[in-house]
Amino acid sequence: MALFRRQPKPKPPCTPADIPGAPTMVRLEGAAKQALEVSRGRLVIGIGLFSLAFLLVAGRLVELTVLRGATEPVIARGIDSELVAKTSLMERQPIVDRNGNILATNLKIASLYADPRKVLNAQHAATQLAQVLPELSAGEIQAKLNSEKSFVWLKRGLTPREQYEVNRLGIPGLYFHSEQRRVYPQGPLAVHVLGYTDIDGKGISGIEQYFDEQLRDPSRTGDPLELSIDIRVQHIVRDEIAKAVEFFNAIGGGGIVLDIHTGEVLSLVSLPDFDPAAPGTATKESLFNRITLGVYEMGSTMKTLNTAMALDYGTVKLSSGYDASHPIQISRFRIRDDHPKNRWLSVPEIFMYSSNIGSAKMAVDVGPERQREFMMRMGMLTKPTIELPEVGAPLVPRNWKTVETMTISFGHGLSVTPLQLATATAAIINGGVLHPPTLIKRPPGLPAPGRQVIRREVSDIMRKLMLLVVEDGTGKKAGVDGYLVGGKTGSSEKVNDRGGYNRKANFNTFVAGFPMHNPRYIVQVMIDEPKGNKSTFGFATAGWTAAPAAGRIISRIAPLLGVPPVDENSPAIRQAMYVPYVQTQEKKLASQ
Amino acid sequence: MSRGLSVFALLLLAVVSFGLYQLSYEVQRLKDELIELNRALGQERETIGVLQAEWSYLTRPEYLQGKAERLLEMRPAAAKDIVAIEALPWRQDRGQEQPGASPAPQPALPPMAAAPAVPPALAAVPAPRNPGITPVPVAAKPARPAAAPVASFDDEVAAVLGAMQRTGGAGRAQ
Repeated sequence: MALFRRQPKPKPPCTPADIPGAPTMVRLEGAAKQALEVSRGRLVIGIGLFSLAFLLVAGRLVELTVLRGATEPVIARGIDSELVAKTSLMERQPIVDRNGNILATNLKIASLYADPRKVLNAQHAATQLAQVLPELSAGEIQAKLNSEKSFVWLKRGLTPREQYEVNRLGIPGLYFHSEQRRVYPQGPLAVHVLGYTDIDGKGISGIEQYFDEQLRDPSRTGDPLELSIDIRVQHIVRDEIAKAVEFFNAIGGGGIVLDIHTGEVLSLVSLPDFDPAAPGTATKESLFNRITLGVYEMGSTMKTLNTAMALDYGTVKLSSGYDASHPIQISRFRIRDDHPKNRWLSVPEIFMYSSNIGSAKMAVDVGPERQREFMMRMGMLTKPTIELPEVGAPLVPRNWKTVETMTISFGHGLSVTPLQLATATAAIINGGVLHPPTLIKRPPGLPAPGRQVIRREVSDIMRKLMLLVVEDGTGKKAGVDGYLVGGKTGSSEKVNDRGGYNRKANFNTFVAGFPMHNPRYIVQVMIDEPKGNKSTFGFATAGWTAAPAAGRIISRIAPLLGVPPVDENSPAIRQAMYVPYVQTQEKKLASQ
Repeated sequence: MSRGLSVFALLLLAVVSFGLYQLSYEVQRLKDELIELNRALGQERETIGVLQAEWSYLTRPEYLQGKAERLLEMRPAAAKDIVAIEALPWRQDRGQEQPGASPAPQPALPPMAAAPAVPPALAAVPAPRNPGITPVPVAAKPARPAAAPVASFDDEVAAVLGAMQRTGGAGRAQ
């Protein structure tokens, strides 16, 4: 301001009071003063504007440096993403199991190429390279290094160790080109869950496809996708099912382990499978996910649902029963029993001896309408929800009349995915809450989504009945000392090319829950077209093929999953799991 | 006055410019350092990723099972090998209550715990060489001679806890 005031200062001696007769001066001075006033006014405005601008800058500076000191990393990250992105940013996030074991990850893979014009001694270089890369021959390398080109590939996709060895040789003229590749350290172990990616790292199957966008999201760098799968359980299930498939010379198999309180899938196995590193070599059979994409008539395992349905609607009591002494003839069907008792059977007996006649009669008393409604409630009529693109829709009969009601009661006429059966069975034994299955680890402590589908009392009864099947019924071979295993067998004949049923080709299922006094897990085993052998006396039914495999799986996974063993014969357990089926049978026989 | 101000302003300008350049160079240096650190960090991350993948590959259950079946004399744990701590009995071999009594009878156990808890393969391992890992069931252990009386309840508890931790025959120095 001082600089601008200099001019007005000499003016005071020229005021009209000092010089007489100076009105003109006054006038002149007035004009000058006016001009000065105007210019000063303008200056003040200018000064004010500039001051304001500087104040703004200063204020912003204070804000950035003092008030928002924590924003420093923003700049750092900016540099980070711009410089590190090129060198190490993962193009695809890793996938881990529920315990953090890596199932899929991206690795930087180096490919070796050479500029032959810069290689000094081709022969020497070739001998040395052939030593560290034994699959290449020295002659071949030398031929490449002697060429006139300026670029030759020597080997694509070196392991880190090979890269280190080549580097150590210190041969001039050799270079690495780095690219990222999806790696599946567990090999084929969980391939139907994980799926695989194409050459550009785009997921084209399984979880890799379903979560493709999230996995490629660069803002989630290093943030792995946690699955509900437990690789230890996955391995045990795969191991046992592979053994069973081989032993019974079956065409395939599958298995699921489900946490019944959360719907988390701990294991999902479909055999045959393939190596996700080389999906191109896989057959159509092995690419097929039998658990979520395949739909099958599940056979007698559906009697679990049928019995729960009748009990839930209250059309039967535990003590009631049906006459199963004669096959039912309805339209072109003849409903027989595979394990015929040829007498009146109580509800528990119908279940444990897997009586088709009894189940059909039980379902007829419920009626087609209510059966359909029940199946809908259990999620058997709609596509199951799971985080996979390969999901099959059930085959629901268009006409749902008495005949269909009868066949569906023992698992024919309605084809569902094995996953749906496992989910529904979980709801039946866990107190009646249907949890949608998931392949993603649920945060512990949070209640899993679900809805009540049957009454809790019915669930309690069903657990006892399933225990009965393993202790005295068709599933004895699934029993495991110390763990109360309950289950249900199912051997359905597969539909042949002519549309009829093939007696020789069975689809065997065993769905088991354990421990039945305090259920925690469902183990479901499927064996596709097993052939009986000497050890099974030629039988190829589920009780001989799938049930023992389920038993072996449970005996191996139960200690891993921290399920405490109990004494099956302790009075407390016996009392809790008591079902009065023998008495009703005797009473009925006595009265006959 | 005005000249003084001008000089002061010029000086200020010089000082500020110098400061600014210093700051700018300092920032540039820090930026380079940051870039270098980020690069190193990225490299470390890559290395960790490779090692993790390798670890995952080497610990895949199929491989471990094959090795274990071939090299270890172990078998999967059966239900009878697992006993809850509450189900473990108290020792009954103390001579104070029953002086001169022969080793007390084995305490009643739930059937599962009574079964031999030492897998045959493990039992074959010479105990003295490896006392730390040989699981010796408390109940199956022969009663200690009466020459080792327990002075107090605290000692009794400590002895039981010691046995639970599978310190084996060495036990507590008494």
